[in-house]
Amino acid sequence: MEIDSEDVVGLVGPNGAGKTTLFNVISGLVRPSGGRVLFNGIDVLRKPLYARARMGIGRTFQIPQPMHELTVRENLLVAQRFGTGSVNQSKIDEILDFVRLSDKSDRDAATELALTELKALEVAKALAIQPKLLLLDEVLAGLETGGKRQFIQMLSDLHRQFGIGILIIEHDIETISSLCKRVCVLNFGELIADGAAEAVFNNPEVIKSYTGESGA
Amino acid sequence: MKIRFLLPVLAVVYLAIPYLWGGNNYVMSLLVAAFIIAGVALAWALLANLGGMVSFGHSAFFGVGAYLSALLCINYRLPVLAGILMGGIGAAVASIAMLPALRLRGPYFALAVLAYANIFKILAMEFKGITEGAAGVTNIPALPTVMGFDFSSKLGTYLVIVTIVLLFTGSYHLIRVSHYGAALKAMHDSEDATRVVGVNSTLLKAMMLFVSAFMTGVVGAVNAHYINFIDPDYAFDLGWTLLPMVAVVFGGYRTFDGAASGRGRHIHAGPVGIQGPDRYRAPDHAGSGIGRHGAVQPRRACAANRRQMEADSPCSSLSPSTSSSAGWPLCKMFPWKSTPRMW
Repeated sequence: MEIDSEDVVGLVGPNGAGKTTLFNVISGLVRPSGGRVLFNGIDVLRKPLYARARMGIGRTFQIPQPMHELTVRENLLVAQRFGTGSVNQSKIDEILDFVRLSDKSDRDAATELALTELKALEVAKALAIQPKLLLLDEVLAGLETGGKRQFIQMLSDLHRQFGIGILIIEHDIETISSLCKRVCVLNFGELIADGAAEAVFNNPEVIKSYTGESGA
Repeated sequence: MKIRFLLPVLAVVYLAIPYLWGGNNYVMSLLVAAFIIAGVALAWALLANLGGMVSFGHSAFFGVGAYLSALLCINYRLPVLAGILMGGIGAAVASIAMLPALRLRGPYFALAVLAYANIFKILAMEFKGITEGAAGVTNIPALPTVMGFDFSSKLGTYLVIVTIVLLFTGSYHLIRVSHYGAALKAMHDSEDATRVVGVNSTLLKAMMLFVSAFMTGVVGAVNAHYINFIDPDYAFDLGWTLLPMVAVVFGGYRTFDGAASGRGRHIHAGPVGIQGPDRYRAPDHAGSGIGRHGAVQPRRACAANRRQMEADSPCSSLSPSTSSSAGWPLCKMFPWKSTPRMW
C-alpha cells in the first residue's frame, strides 16, 4: 500500500479489520512482527515514535487525547516545539484559526472543550508538527450532523491549504466518497481492495466483508 | 516567579528571620531541619509533580550525596562546598542505575526504585573499606568559615540550606514554565499523546531523574556536613523519601508551592510530636538518627564532635544522661527531643 505526498486516501473496513493497528504501526505505537514501513524511502520501523513524528508522521486518536493540565494553545506549543524543534506563534495562530479554536485557545484542553472541539484539537496538534503524512483516526466519530458537516468542510480545506498526504479512517461511506478519490479496504489485516472510491464500494468482496453477503 | 513575590520572600529569609531568631539555636535548628526536608521535597516533587513518577528511592540519592561529599572531604581534603557539589553530581550519576526503571509506570516504578534504594544501602554497608560499613563515617568536616562568618553555626547552616532551597525552587519554577515542563505535565495522563507529537518521553524523564537526584544529593551532603556523622541506616533511611513525600502531599501534590507550604507544616508538626513511627523519625530529626544508633556506634563517633558542639549548643546545660554521646546530635538539630523547653 502506497500513499503519495498529496493523496487523500480513505481507509475502511469492518470492526477488527486492523485499521487503527495499521495507524499504530505507522506512527510507532505498535511494533509489528514483520513487514516494512517506508517513509520517504526510509524504513521507519526501527525508529522510535517521537522520531517518526519529527520526520513528519502526524496522527490523531479515535478517542481524543488532549494533553492534560495544558491549555489549547499550550497543547499546540508543545507539539510544535518538540515536533519541529522551534516555536512559531503565528503558525500556531494560523492553525487555531483553521480548526476554529482561536476563541478557545486559553481553555483547559482536557476539561473545557466539547467533543467537536476536542476532535479539532487532535487535528490541530497533528498539524502543529508540520506533518508530511497525516493519519486521521475516525475524526468524525460521535459528532452530531452539524458538527460533522463542519468537520468535513474543514478536512477538505485541510488538504487544499496544507497540501499534505492524508490517510483517513472512516466508517461513513458517503463521507469517505466526498473526501477521498482513492479508498483502501482492510479486512482482518489484509488489503482486499485499493482504488477509486466508486469502484471499491461496488466491489463484491468489499460488500461481503461488510455485510457477510456476496452482493448488494 | 514574580519579583513582587520574590522580594518579600528574600527579605524574610535573609533579613527578618536572621534578625529575629539568628541567635536562637532552637529556632534555627527547626528551620535548618525544615529546609533540609524542603530541599528533598522539592527534588521529589520535581520528579513526581512534573515527571509523574512517584519515587520511593530518594533516600538513595540523599545517602550517596552524603557519603560522597563526606568521603571526598575526609580522604581527599576537598573543600566542603566542592564536596557538596560533588555529592550532588555523584547522586545524579548514581541515578543512572535507575534508568531501566523509567520503562515502568505507577506502582511498578515506585517498587523498582525502592529496591534500588535498598541496594545502595546494602552497598554502603558492605563496602567497609570505603564507607566504614555499619560503623559509619565520623568527623565529617563542618561547613567552612568564610570571611570570618562561620557557616557551621546554626545561623550559617540556615543561610546555606535556605540559599540552596531557594536556588532549587527557582530551578523548579524555570523547568515548570518551560516547554519541557509543559511536556512533562502533559505526560502524566496522556503519554502517548505527547510521544506522537515528537516528545522523547524517556529522555525527559531521565533528565528529571538526574536533576532530582542532584538536588537530593546536594541536600544530603549539606546534612552530612551539618551533623558531622553518617552511617548507612541513617543516610539511606526510607524516611528521607517518606517525609518529603508527606510534605509535598500536605502542601499540594500537583501545585508549585506544594513542597514549600508542606515543609512549613513540618516546622509546626515536629515540636508537638506529630510524627510517624519512631524509626521514621530520624530524617526529619536528622540528628536523631545518630542518637538512635548511638548505643551501638563507636563512642568516637559522637565524642569527637561533642566537645565542639557542646560549646555553642543549647544542650551544653543538659544533664549528664541527656548529653551522653548517644544524645548530643538530637539536641543539635532538634532540641525539643533532649533539652528543656525554651518556651
